[in-house]
Amino acid sequence: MRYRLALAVGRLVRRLARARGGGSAFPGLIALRIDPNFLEHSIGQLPGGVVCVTGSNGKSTTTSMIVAILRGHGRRVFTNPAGSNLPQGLASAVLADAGSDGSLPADLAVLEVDEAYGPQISEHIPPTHLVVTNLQLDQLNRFGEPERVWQMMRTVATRTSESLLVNRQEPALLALGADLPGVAVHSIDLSHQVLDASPEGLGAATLFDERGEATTNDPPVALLEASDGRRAHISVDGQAADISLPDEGVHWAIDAALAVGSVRILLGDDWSWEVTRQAFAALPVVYGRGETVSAGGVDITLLMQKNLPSMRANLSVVMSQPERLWIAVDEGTPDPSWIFDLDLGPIERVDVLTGSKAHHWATFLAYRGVQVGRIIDDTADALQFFSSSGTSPVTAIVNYEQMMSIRRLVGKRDLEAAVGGEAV
Amino acid sequence: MSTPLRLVRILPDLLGINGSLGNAEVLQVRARWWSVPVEVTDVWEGQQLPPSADIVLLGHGTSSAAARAAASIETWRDELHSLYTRGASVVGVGLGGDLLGQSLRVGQQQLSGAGLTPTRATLQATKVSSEVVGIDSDGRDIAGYLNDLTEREAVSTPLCTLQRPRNLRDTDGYRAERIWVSSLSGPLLALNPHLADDILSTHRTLPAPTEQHGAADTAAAMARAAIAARLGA
Repeated sequence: MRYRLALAVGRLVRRLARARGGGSAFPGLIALRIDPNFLEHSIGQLPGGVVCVTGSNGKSTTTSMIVAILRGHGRRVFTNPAGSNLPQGLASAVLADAGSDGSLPADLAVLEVDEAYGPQISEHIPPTHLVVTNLQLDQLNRFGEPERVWQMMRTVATRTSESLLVNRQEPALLALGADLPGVAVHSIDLSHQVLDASPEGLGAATLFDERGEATTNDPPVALLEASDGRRAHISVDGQAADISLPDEGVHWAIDAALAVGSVRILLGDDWSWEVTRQAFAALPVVYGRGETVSAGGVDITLLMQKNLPSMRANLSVVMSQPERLWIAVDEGTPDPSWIFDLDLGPIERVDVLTGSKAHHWATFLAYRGVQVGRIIDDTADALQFFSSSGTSPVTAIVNYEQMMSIRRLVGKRDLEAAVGGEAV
Repeated sequence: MSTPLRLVRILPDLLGINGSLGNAEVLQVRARWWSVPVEVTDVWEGQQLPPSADIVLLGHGTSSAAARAAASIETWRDELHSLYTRGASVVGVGLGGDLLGQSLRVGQQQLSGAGLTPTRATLQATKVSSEVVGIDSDGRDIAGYLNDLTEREAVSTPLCTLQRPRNLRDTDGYRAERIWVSSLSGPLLALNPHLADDILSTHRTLPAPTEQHGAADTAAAMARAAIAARLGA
């Protein structure tokens, strides 16, 4: 009864919110207020169970890949839009998808879950399968330290009923699988070639105790043999295949290996390499990560960063000084201290610094001897500057909030409609 | 060529997250701008500390890193005291600063510190996360980001008095003759270059700031002002 009421009121609020031009997590919040068990009454009823994807980075990507592969195999999948990874975001997604009888037209759910909200979400909808992408030094202002995040992930793992999948190159993630009765702990692995190509490491946080020493002798469910540009070479059960990635970078390839491994676990013998390859070939570019938008005829490539590892991943594809470089960072990155841990590689000049952390960046760049052209506080003014001062392309290193601002300013509002309750 | 300034980074693999080693970089670069050569020595687990040094720096680490670092620091306790007695400045940031104190409690573990400061700290007791502004004992602006999981018994000579946000914490850090301890990131010395110059001036007579110092210090002043404005100070 409560569920039906929550569904009806939530949908009404959702229609009103959309009529005002936005999508948001607010309708989901209302639904959860009316029925605190809204998620178990909807997502929790799916016969194929719940796959939760959590981790510091790559949650959206890995989730979208798993969904695409499963749908390619004919499975009906309920999922949440990228970034809508809090309880209210999940509830809003239910409001969008549930049928008139309140049920979801899906066989199973694949959910991107914010790591901090994992314990709360898993209390309502315990995962049947858990995929943990990575554990990185991420959002220290929010989490304090990765040890705390590990504990949150461990709570979710202890509520998981069937399988856990991690990257075995992260011992702390293997340690999540210790003493989980009835849960099969699977892993993917990376070849020496892949590891050697990332001498700085892949951004995994090290836990300096027994958790940082966990190992496994079980064969990996998937092996990332090579990563080259937008191609990844992955083997499963001794059969290798090339797949196309949404963008360049080894982190995409690792996400892909996790997604392939995950679906292999879920479908067993029904899994097909050919269908998987087709699914990857049809994947769209993920927003903000290598996406190019146009402002007044000037191409602006957005490289979104949210922490040291993602910034390093972005900088790893900047092979030479960009023609015009824009760094825009605001309060979405409350403590940017980690920028002092960066190797700026070929960057010798930043044309424009924008956002409330611009002076923080200017201080850092002064110590690195990097020239700063100008500081333009306002994002719209900076965009205007670039579009009126030349036609050469702009590389923009931005945080999530600045990415959304820039996309909005150039007329792209699709993500705003989709994203709600995000904690990317 | 003047004698190199000897800067020692203790356990940079364990105590060096969130830009805290940027404090060493700031000291190094500011000295270089004054044409003072700097010799940086990193000391790892199992090694001995150098017999002499001008500045010893410990950065921030996570709880598991600090627990492991404490074992090394206990073995270096006498050497650290000896370096300090013979004139070295000691700078500790975050948990690296707490390990300079009497003890650090991590869960059920009571870790011994270097005993250079009177601090007794308990990790994971509370979590504080906010930009902060305050003043040091000379009345100069201090700004940074306080991202701290540690509670400490009050000390009589803090590094600074915090003014904003109100009701967060009254003070931060510890200050004695040649000891600077703080929980502030930013990093501390980049955003507050006067502290960096206090440390450097303990070992060298500093000439007038160069153009490079001016540019970095103007940027830092603007960053501090931006923080103060956000906090309504």
